[in-house]
Amino acid sequence: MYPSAIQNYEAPDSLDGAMAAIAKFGDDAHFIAGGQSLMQAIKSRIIQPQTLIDLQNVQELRTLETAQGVTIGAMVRYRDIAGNAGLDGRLGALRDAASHVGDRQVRNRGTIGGSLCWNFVSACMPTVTLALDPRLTLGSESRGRREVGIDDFLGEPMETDRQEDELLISIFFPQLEGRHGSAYGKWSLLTDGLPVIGVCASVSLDEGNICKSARISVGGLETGPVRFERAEEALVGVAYDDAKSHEGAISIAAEEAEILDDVTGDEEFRRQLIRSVGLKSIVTAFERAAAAGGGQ
Amino acid sequence: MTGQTGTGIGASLPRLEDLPILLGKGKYFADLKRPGQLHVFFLRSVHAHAKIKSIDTRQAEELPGVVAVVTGEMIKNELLPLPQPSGAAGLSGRNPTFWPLAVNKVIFHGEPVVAVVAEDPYIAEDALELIDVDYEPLPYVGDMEAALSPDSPIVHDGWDSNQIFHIDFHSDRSASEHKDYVKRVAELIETAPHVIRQRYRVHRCGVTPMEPRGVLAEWDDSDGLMVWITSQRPHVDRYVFADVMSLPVSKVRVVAPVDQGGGFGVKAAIYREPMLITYLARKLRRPIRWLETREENLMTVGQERDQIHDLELAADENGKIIAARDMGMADAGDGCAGMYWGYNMPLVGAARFPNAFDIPFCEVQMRVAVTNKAVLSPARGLGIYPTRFALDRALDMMSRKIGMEPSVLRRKNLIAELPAKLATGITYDSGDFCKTYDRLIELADLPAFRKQQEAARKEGRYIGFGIGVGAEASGVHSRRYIVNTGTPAYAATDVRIDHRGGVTVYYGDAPHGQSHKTVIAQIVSSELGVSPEDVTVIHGDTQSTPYSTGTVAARGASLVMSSVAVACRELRQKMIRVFAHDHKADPDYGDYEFSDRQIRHRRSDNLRSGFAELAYRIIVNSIDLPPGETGSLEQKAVFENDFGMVSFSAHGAFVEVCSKTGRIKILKYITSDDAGVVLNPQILVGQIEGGVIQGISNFLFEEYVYDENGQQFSTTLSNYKMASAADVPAIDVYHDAGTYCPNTPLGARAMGEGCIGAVPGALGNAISDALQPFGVEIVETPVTPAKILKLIRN
Repeated sequence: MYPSAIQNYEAPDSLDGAMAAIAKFGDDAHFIAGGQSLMQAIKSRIIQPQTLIDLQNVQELRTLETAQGVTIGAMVRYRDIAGNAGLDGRLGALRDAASHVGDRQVRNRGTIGGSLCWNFVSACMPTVTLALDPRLTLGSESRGRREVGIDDFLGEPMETDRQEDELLISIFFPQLEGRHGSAYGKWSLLTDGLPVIGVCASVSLDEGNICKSARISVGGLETGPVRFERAEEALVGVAYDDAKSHEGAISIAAEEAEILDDVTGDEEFRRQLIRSVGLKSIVTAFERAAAAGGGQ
Repeated sequence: MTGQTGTGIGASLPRLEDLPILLGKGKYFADLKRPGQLHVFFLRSVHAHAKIKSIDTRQAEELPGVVAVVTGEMIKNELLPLPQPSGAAGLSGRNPTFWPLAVNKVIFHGEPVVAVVAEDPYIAEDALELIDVDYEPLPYVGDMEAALSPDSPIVHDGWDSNQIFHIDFHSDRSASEHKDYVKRVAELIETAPHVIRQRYRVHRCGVTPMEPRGVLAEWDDSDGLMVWITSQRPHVDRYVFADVMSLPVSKVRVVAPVDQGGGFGVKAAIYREPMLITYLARKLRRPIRWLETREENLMTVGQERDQIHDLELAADENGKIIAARDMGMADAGDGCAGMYWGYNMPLVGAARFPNAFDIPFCEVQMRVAVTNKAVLSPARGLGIYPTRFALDRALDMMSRKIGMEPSVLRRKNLIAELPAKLATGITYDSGDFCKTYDRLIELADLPAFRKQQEAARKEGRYIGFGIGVGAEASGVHSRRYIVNTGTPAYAATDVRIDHRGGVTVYYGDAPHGQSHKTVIAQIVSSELGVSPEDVTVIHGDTQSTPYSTGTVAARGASLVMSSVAVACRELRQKMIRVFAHDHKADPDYGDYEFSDRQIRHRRSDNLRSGFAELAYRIIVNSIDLPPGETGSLEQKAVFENDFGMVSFSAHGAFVEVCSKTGRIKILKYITSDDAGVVLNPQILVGQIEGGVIQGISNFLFEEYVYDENGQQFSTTLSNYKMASAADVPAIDVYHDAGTYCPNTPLGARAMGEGCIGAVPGALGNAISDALQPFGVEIVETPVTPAKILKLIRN
C-alpha cells in the first residue's frame, strides 16, 4: 500500500495554472480532486502517475451558483451538494445521492467532478447526472473550452470523453420552464455503500400534472449507468399520481436491463431491485415536480 | 447480579484505558520505531495451488535500498519449521510441516513466497514488482467434501489424503461402550416419532480487528532476541520463537504493546510472518519491522466458521429430545498455523455441540479437510458459531413438525440441573439456564408478539421472532486446553504493593480491548481498600510478568481476575497478621476491613492504620515481625479449576423480512445473560453488544469469497462487508437473571468468547419464523436479500 515514486506534485491556484500543468507534464500526469478513489488506486499501484496535479487550491472549481440555472464547479464536494437547500425539486436527486455516498469522511472530501471523471461502474454521480441531463464544460491549454452533454461525456465504465490534457471545469444544469422533479435511490448491502442497484428519475409536468418528459437511468449494471428510453416514453402522458403506470414504466427498465449474476445479487434479484428502488425514485420525482412552482 | 458500587467490583467505573487513547496517546504497535529499522514486504502467491519452478530475484536485489531478498529455499535450512513442541496442538491431528516462505509449491492464494527487506517501505514495494516467479499451476482443492474423497488432488506433499483431523467423541465411554452407545443413538433415531434430518452450513467468515498484525524484532549479541508483536499470547510466542530459532528461552523477550486494536482470536495463533521477521533480525543484525496491510490481513487471517453439519435430531411425542447425531465437516484451509492448525476450531465447535440442551444420547463426529485456502484462524466464538446455528435451527424445525411453540420446546429441553456433563465429555459447573432463559421469554412478551405477527401477515408484512442460546466456556480448564492447543489454562498474576501503598499488578497476558486495566483496578480497590488510581497494571511483557497462556477463551473474568483476587487476599491476610501483632490484637481476618486506604478493626475504632503506613512497616521497616513472618508485600497467585466453568446467554431477535426485496430488518434484539457477579456492568454490556454485532455481521454481510480457481475476492473492506453502526440495531442487554458462580472467588463468569454463540440461531430462527407463510427454513448462511428472494420464489 505504498505508491510507486511520484516525481512531481503541483498545486496550481488557478484554472489556467491547472491546464498549463497538465499540458506541461503530459501523459504521466494525473489530476487529483478529492482523492477518495484515486488514492486507493495509487496506493495499490493500479495506476502509477509520475505527476500529481492537486486541484484543491483552484477556487474557480469550488463554486456552486444558482443564479441562471445551476452551475456546479467540478471540485464541489458531496457535503456541499448534500447541504445546499437550493438544490431541490428538479435537482433533488443530486442531494439524494450526495447525502449517501460512502461515509462522512468521504463526503467531506469527495467531489462531483472527481466522481464523473473517474466514472466508476456503479458510482452514484454518473447515474444521477445521466438522468438530469447537464452540460459539462471542459478546458485545455491548447484548445480552449468546449461543452459536452452528459450522454456523450460518460463512456464505458472508467472512461469518459475527457481528453488527457483536459480539465472538467463545471457541470451546468440549464434553467427550465415549467415544473420538474427528480429523485435518486439506491440499494446496497451495507448502509451508504456502493449501490447494487441505483435508479434516478427526472420528470417534467404540465399544468394538469401530466408528465411531459422523463429521463430514467439505472446504475449498478456491468455496463455502467444506462438510460431506458422506452421506460421514459412510457411515462409521458401519465398523471403524476398514476402509480400503476409508474410501476409499468419501471418494469420496462427492469426487463430490458442487461444483468449478469455476481456474488452480491443474481439476475432476478437485481431486476426486482430496479422495480422497487426505481418505483420509489419515480414516485418521489413526481411528488417533487408537483410541489414545484415554475422555473427551477 | 451486581455487587457493590463506587469504584470497586460491580461499579460501572469508566475505562481507565480510554483517556490516553482519546488523546491520541495510545501506545500501539505502529507507534514503535527502532533506530536503523528495516522494512519487510512479502511477495505473495497469485495461485491457490502451484509448483514453484523458479524465482528470479536478481533485479530486486540490485535496487538501491534493498538489503535482502529471501526465498523459502534460502531459509529452510536456517530455521526450524513448525510444528515445534511449543506450537503444536496437543491433539493427534496431522500437523503439516511449514516454513515462513513457500518451499517447492504454494498452497493458497496469498501465501508468502518471497520477502524483501529494504530501507523504507516504498523501496520494498518497488522491489516486489521486480521479482519474477515462474509457477506451474496445480489443480485447486477448494471444496471440503470433495477434498476428503479418495480421488482428490493432495494439498500437502507426502500426505495420502486431505484429512487433517477426525474425532468421534467418546467422552469417558470405552471403545466397546461407545459402540453400544452409537448403536443406541441409531435405534432411537430410527424409531422416534419425530426426526429432523437436515444439512446446515455456515460459510467462511470471522473477525477483523481494526489493527492488523505487526512484528518488530531486534537482535542483540548479549541479550538475544527482542520482539514487539501484536499478540494475545506473548509468553507462548516467546517459547515458539525460541524453539524455531534454537535459542534458550532466556534469550527471547516478547512484548505485546500496551494498546492493541482488537484481536478477537486472530492474534492468538502462530503464523508464518513473525517467524521470518525474528529470523531476519538475527541474520541481518538490524531491527526488522513488518506491518500487515489490510489486504494481507483479509487474505491470510480472520477466516473461520466454514463448517457443514449433517444433523439428525429425534424427539418423542411431547417434544423431548431423545437422541441426536451430528456428522460435522470443516474446511481448515491449508492448516498451517501453530497452536490451532485449522482444526482446533471445528473440534471445539463439535465438542460443544450439545450446547445447553439435555440430549440423552448424542453422537458427534467431526472431519476436517485441508484445502487450498487460507488457514482457519481462531475467532471469537471459536468453532461454535456453526454448531449453535445447526442445533438451534433444528430445534425450531422440530417445534414446527410437532406443532409446538419453539420457545416451549426449547425450554423443555434445557439442562435443568448443574453441574452437568455432555455426551462429548464437556463439563458445566454451575448456573441456572432455565432462570436466565425464562427472563428472556418474559422480556420478549411472546403472546403479544404472536398477535402482532398475525395482524401484520394480513397486511402482507412478515415479522418473526427467534431464540438462540449459548452455554459457553467461562475460562477453559487445563485438562481440555492442553489437548486443544498445547498450552495450559491457568492464570498467573503477581501483585506487588510498594512502600507508599501503590499496587502494581503484573500479568503475562496481552489484553487488546478487554478493559483489564480497569477491572483489575476495581478488584484491587475492593480487596485492598485502595483507590483505582493507586493501581498500575503491567501486562504483555515476558521479562516482567509470570508465564500465562494469553488473552483467549474467556479467561478474563473467570481466571485472570480470580488470580488477582486470590493474590490480594493473601496480601491482605499478611497485613492483618502484622497489624494485629503490632497492636497486640487478635488476628481474626474477618474482624478487619480495608477501605479508604485504611485498615481498621470493625469493632474497635482506634485500631486502625493507613494502608501506606502499614505497607511501609512491612516492606521497609521489616523488623519485629510476628514469628515466622518475613518482610515484603509481593504475591504471585495462580488460579485454575479442574472442570469446565460456564456462562449462559439467551438471545431473542425480532425481525421483519420484506417479501418483495428480501430485505431483513432487525426490529429488536434482546439478550438475557448469566455473567455471575458482574464485575463492571458497562464493560460487560460492551462485550455482549460487540459479540452480538459481530455475530449479526457474520450472518448477514461478511463472507470470504474464493472463486472456482481459489482466487480470493474479498481482499478489501469494500468487498468483505462489515456492519457499521448504521447497519445494526441497539442491543438490549439484561444480566439481572444471573447466578453466583461458586467456583470463582468473585462469583463472576466470563462472557467475551461465547456471547456471539447464540446469534446465528436467534437470527436464523427469527427469519424462518417470519417467512413461515412461504414455508422457508434458513439452513445456510450468509442470509442475503438475494437468497431470501430465491427461497421465497422456490
